[in-house]
Amino acid sequence: MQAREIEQLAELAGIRPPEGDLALLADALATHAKLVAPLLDARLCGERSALDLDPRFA
Amino acid sequence: VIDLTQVTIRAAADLIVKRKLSAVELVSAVLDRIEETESLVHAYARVDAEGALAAARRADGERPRGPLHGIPFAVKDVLATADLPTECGCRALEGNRPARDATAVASLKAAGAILLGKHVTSELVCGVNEPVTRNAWNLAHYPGGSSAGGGVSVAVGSSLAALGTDAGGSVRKPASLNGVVGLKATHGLIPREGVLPPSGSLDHVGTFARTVEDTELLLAALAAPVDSEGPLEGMRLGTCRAYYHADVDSWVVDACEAALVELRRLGATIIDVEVPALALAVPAGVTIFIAEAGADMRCLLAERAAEIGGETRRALELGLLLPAVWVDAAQRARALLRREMAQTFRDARLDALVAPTLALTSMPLAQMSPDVHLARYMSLTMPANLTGQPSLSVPCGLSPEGLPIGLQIVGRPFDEATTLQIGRRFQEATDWHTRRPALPAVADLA
Repeated sequence: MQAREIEQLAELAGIRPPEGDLALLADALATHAKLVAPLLDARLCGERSALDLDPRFA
Repeated sequence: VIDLTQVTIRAAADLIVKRKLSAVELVSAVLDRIEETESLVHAYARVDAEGALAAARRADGERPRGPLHGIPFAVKDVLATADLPTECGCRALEGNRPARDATAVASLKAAGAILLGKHVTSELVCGVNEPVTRNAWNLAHYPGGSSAGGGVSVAVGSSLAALGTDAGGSVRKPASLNGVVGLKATHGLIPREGVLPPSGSLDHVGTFARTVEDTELLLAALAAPVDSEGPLEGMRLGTCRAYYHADVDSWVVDACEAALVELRRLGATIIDVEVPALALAVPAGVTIFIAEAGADMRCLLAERAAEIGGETRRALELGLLLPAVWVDAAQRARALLRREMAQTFRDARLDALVAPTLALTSMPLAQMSPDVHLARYMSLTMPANLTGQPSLSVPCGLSPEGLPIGLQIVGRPFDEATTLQIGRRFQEATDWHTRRPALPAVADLA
């Protein structure tokens, strides 16, 4: 993503990152994309989402 | 002669009940130790010597309320305290004075324990702290995660007990790296009311102490008493080497294997298990943590960004920019892990899972690269944050460099009794928890 796109996305989220953060955030998003790749590859669409926080084993 | 800076809670409590030790003597000794060690380790953000001594004098005038009566403790500066500012290591929260103590702090005080001050936290639990906290065993080395102040302080004797928070290992990590005991109880068992919420669904209030027995005394005041008596005969302990021993330093694996031998000698049966979804724990945990931290801090970020350090600010901003599909995939991976873990415990009839706490021992701060090493430092602790299971770290060895190694005992949800029972029997049979770091004198560093 380009810095300008990051700025627009941040604005939609209600924040205004300083100019100097924009390029760093673009890098951080790219790095995080690599981190989450195994989650997307795991094809978890059929798995229930873990929004129920009861830690007891069902 | 007892060294009051290295005494256990149990031993100090016995002396206080018999009136052989006063709370003022104990608190004074620990305050002196803070004076001696702070310029070396920087574990405290704020010390309230006057308030602690006043509380100790009041305690000496009362009948002991229980084993925590007169015991000095400190808490990470993300837990609210009515008498001291709660600044979370962040300039934007300078002078923040909560109206009342966090429930966990209030519980320890109600049991007679005496608050010494606030331990350092990394900024808003996401960034760094300056000056940096130092490892108790080697001042040039990494002390652990955002609750490092608690682990370092209990190790060097500048508190007998501490409270921290653990959203990815931040209690168990400094416990392991500094050779003390750290407990993250089942999610929600120790109330989080009054705690800065960096990631409510992953975060837990946790304890630091020198022994499992002391941890049990703290848990009794924070949640409910547990009974950890009883032998290990008949217990079934799982080991998942495919995950917990992979990409792990050889001396850590060796120490864990030796601990498994000891646990078997004590009567437990060791069972090999596999939990494939553990491989997703780090990406899932990091994604959920960042997303929740960003959402929790959005208003602060929108209104006072200039007063938040650059590294912290960018981590929080990143949390607000993550695509929903990533966060959703992380939550689904978490559900899968919980399902597999529950299935494994049921199928193998496990009482607990036993593993190294961390993949590596403490490394020199100068050699650390956050992108590379922080994921390794949380790879073995994050699973229990995702599943919410109780997880205890106890010392189980030393590296070739003489740095502590931790053994992690992950129990069934709400079965702190068995988790602590395993840790206590292990400590009764070994002496790793009695080793203490030898700090250099300040003058030697000049």
